[in-house]
Amino acid sequence: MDFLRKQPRFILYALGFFLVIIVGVLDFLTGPDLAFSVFYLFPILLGVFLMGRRGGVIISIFGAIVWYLADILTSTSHTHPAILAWNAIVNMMIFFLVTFTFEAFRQQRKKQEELMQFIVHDLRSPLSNVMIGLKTIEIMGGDGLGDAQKRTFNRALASCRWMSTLIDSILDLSRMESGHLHLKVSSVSLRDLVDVALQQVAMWAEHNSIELVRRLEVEDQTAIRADREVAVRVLVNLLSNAIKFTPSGKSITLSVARHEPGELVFCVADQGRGVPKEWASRVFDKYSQVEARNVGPLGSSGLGLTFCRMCIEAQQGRIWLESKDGQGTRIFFTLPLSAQPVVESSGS
Amino acid sequence: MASDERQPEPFNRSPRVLVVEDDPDSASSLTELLSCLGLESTVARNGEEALWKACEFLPDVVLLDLGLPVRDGYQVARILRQNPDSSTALIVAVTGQPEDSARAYQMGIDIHLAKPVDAGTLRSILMDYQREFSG
Repeated sequence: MDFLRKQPRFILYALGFFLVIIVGVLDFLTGPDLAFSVFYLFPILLGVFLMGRRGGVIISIFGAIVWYLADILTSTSHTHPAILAWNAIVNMMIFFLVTFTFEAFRQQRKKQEELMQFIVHDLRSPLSNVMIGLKTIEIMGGDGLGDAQKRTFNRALASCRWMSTLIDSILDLSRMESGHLHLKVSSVSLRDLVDVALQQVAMWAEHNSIELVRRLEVEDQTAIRADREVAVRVLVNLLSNAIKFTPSGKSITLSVARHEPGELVFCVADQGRGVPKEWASRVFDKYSQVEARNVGPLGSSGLGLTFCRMCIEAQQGRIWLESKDGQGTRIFFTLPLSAQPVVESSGS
Repeated sequence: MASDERQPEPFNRSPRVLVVEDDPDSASSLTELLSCLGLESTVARNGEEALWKACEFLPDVVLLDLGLPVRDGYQVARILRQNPDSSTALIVAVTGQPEDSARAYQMGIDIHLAKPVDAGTLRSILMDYQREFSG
């Protein structure tokens, strides 16, 4: 659908008219006895979906004309010649009605999505203040803070960080879905990518007494083809998830190895409680989160995994999960190797 | 980090921090943290105020919210860089938009922090800066 949406208008109109003509020809071939008008709705809905109300209206008018022609060519007799024209007008009204209703729903959904993004985005400032405030109190307390108080501060800060990850994944996913997150794919140093991601979660892991193990089974100079920033976020997301579900004292391993020719496989393995088998393929699904929460102690990982899947697939990779109940979870994803030298990033 | 060609003179005092933030709560929480760290700070509520306060207060570090009304943080950063009073200051951008980082660097911003700001990271940036330039 995204591919279609990027095409010029005239191509979309041509596609709509073409589909209407196909329906018209089928309508003609099946004769006057078989009701066919509902099938004209497919190109009309496609028109609204891709081009909005105007596209839907124009294809509706064209649809009504084609329907009228197909009816003239197949009809044998009518009590009055104006009946066909009347029927065509009634059909066009139905097409318009569907167009306007569908467009109204679409606009409503868009507004809700924008409002949600706006609200979620605005959560960042107060969250930022909470985190700064906690740190300030901690610094004020200085050496006078007992271990229990320090633990409380760290737990509160870790929760803030998790909330921040949740906010990011909601916004990233919305951007990804609306096509506003543009990938800047280049040659990225594998080592740099892994180091930056591990660094971002290091403090959190330390607070939770979780050891982060880094295992690169490829040469240090290896380069991959990816959007650096997005790939880092995918790794941070997977590592954050792993930290959240791993008990204190255990470890998380991030390993990278060669896979199929021209491909690297990344693996984030935790020692958490694992994911039941029937959920393994569904944890990446946006809507399965709600269901997962209702059926058992799976815990919500927010929309992070859905974001990861969309990012990895957009970069010609695959992502999957392997887990045994109670024995930890391993999430794998692949990214293509790059033959080009690494492009230095200004953001590092 | 501040690039080599813009090395300020070493000083024997705490760095002065100009906080440019339109949200009063965010501004207060930042100034409280800064005073806790022993740093002198002042707040500018918008871009215009930031520009004249930069001349008056002569900050060593500017914590700049990029989502300011009227004149946005990028424009403020560019003008601060051109102004001799603040051309050597360490400009730390604070923003809710992680994807703005490329533009931030182009406009002369040294460090880019995404909201919510990790106070630990901000603290280590300021402490590193203080250590580096306190002679």
